[in-house]
Amino acid sequence: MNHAENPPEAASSYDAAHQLDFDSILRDTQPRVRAYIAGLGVPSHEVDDVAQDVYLEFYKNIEKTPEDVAPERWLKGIARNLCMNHFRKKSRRGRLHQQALVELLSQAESSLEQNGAPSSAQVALETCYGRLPTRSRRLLTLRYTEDLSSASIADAIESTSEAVRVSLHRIRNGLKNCIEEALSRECWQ
Amino acid sequence: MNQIPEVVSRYLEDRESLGDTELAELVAALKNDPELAGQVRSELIVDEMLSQKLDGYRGDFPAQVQQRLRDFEQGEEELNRRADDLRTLAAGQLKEKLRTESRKQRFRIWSAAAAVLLMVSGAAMGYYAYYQSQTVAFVEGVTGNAVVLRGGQRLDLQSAARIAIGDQIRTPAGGAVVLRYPDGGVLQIGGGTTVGFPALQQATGVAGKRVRLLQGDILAKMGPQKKPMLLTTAVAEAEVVGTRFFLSATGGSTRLDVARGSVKLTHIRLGQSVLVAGGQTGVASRTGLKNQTAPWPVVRKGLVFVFQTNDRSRQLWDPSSADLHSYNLQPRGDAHWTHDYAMHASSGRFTAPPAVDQQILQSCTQSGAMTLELVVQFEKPQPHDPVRIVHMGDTANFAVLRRGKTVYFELQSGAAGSGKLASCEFTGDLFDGAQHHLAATASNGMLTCYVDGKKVNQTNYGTSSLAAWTAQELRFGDMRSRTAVNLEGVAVYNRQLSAAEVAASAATYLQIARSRPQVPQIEVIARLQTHSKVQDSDLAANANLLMVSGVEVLEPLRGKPEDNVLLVAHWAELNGMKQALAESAPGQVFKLVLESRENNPQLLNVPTVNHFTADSDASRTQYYVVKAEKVLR
Repeated sequence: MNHAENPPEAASSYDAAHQLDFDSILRDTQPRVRAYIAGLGVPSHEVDDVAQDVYLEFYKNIEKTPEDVAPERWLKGIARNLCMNHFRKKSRRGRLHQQALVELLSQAESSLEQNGAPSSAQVALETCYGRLPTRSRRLLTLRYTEDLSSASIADAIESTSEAVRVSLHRIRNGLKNCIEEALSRECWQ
Repeated sequence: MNQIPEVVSRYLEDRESLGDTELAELVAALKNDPELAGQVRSELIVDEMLSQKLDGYRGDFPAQVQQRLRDFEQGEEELNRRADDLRTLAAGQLKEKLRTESRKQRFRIWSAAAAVLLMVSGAAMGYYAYYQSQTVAFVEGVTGNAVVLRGGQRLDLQSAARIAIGDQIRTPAGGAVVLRYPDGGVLQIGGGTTVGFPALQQATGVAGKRVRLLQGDILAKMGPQKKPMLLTTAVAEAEVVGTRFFLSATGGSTRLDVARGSVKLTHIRLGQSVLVAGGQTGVASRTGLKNQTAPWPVVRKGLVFVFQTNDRSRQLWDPSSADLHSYNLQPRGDAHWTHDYAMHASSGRFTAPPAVDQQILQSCTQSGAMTLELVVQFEKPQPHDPVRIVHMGDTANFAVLRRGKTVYFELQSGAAGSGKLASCEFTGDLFDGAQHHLAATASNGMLTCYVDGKKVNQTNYGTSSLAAWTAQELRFGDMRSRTAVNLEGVAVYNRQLSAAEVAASAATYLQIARSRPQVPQIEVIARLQTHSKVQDSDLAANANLLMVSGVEVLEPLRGKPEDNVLLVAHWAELNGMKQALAESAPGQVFKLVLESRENNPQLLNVPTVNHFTADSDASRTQYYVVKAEKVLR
């Protein structure tokens, strides 16, 4: 007899409900939990790895989530601890500074997380992105879609890496202001 | 502290770009200025939101989490099964012990109980033995959507899954699966590979391990085997008693590279055998069997990374422990393999997995020295088209770059965080269409560049360490360059090769490359007539898909086309991206460079949509479009 050929046992109704809850929490919260992790200084290419660990940890202990705490808040708590662990495990070099940064950034207040409904920031980003001039969108495409550094973008558009960095900073800052404005408007409506 | 804006800007660009001192400055600045900390945090969040929106590779995050959950559940389930088996056994043994202690008091009752317990423990042990005998190995890691075919079912393969006799594993291009045998032996299954685990021969009882490699490659690390492990391909059989080797099967040929120990390779049809020892390569083809000392890499001391071609050794070494791993390169954009399995990078690149980056980083920063060698073949470059040929990350621990017709090597050579770069030029005409061997060595503050084994330039960079290096991806090719480059014969060492070693390596590799049979090409101006009809479902199911179209030759430019109307296979989808030629309307005119598809074995297993199936079409040569340029007429 081969275990692997046996049909899987039917999941209990508890398991099914558990999975359903988890799926909807994952779907609703994942953009913001990933943004939260990035906001603590985790490098872009490692954000999703840490975020996966966060959801796995949450899944394993879903019954321990306090009823009076919103899942997103609980997830962010897990994320903060795992980010600390991430930098602790990663390397000796700069480890203490990285952990201090996580501490400082987690205490820093970002206006993007304060106002509006949970999904509002993403919606606002879509609107604000649509208003960007073509050149700005091209820069963002080179940076985020093509995954190019400022130096490579500078080569491509015959500029300097410093100028590209400044441009990207301005575009991100403009988007941040635009999103904040949209969120605060929503708050007053 | 007046450099803080610059430090913040660099931190936002790359979280790993700051040295210790700069990180300390950043921490102090954020501590003193909570408003600045809030701004940095907001910009990091916007950066992430943009990345989520614009980076197509990050869109399937919920699916990745679900996969992790399945891996977790599967792991738990497997552990529970094993625990249940052991508990059953232990329970049987415990009852056996109790039976012995009370035998004198209740002999008759116990006789019956003992019979029952013996039956239970016997059944448990029998089942356990059967379970053990049917278990081949356990999955230790999975990259990509690998599947296992089991009893007519196709199941997603997950970590900790048990592989049983009769299973067949298939990996996607660029994917990988690592299996661990109960005795600790490891089998790394490469991308685009199909491997079966056949039933043991009844006559031999508990025989050694058996693996059937149908297509692709595997790297095996096996300790001493009590009974020989047997690996078979379509043409050959490899018998192993304890070794490390890389076995690949492509078309009608099987290639065996032995790193350590020895392997007996037998040609099944001819019945001939050779013993392939460490450092040797055995090749079994339809016509014969040969064994030779692997001609390249000529030098193995300090070797960290080797990419010869994609059908040959792709090995990663840890020089300190002599441990060996295999890896896959992941193509992106328009990157694909040539008929020689070399990398063809034009508007695309190949990326090495993180294990490669870590090994190169660790090995070279520890030794403070490095050598990179590679063989390139350039197309005529576009003016003002800066291109990265090989580079380790965007901030480039090292890179081979081209600007116009100048090709040069760049090295991060200063102290950590200094951003200091040293460079030297590969002088010479590298754009004559031929393959050229380039090498750069760095040690004790001296950077030396070689072309075709001859020293062409040397720069003193003044520091003897590579401390500025950080964790970076090793990439080949450039997403934004339309000028094609073919790359092969890449090796990285953690030491400086001598001029004589570089010369020997260059001579050997160029000899290998230039002695290959030339694949004839034709070049024509042709008008697109009809496409095979590609369904959306075909595109959805395949990241790489070829389609066949009919073209009318308007003007032959080079070589002689077989007919006025040719059947050409071209990419409908490559690396998940729809291709322009496939979407062009009939009537459009192209300049095409074509090779016979038969001469392109790398396409053997690529799914193809072909509606030209009439008898008259079946006898025609099918060409493969190597290059297509729109022509305005």
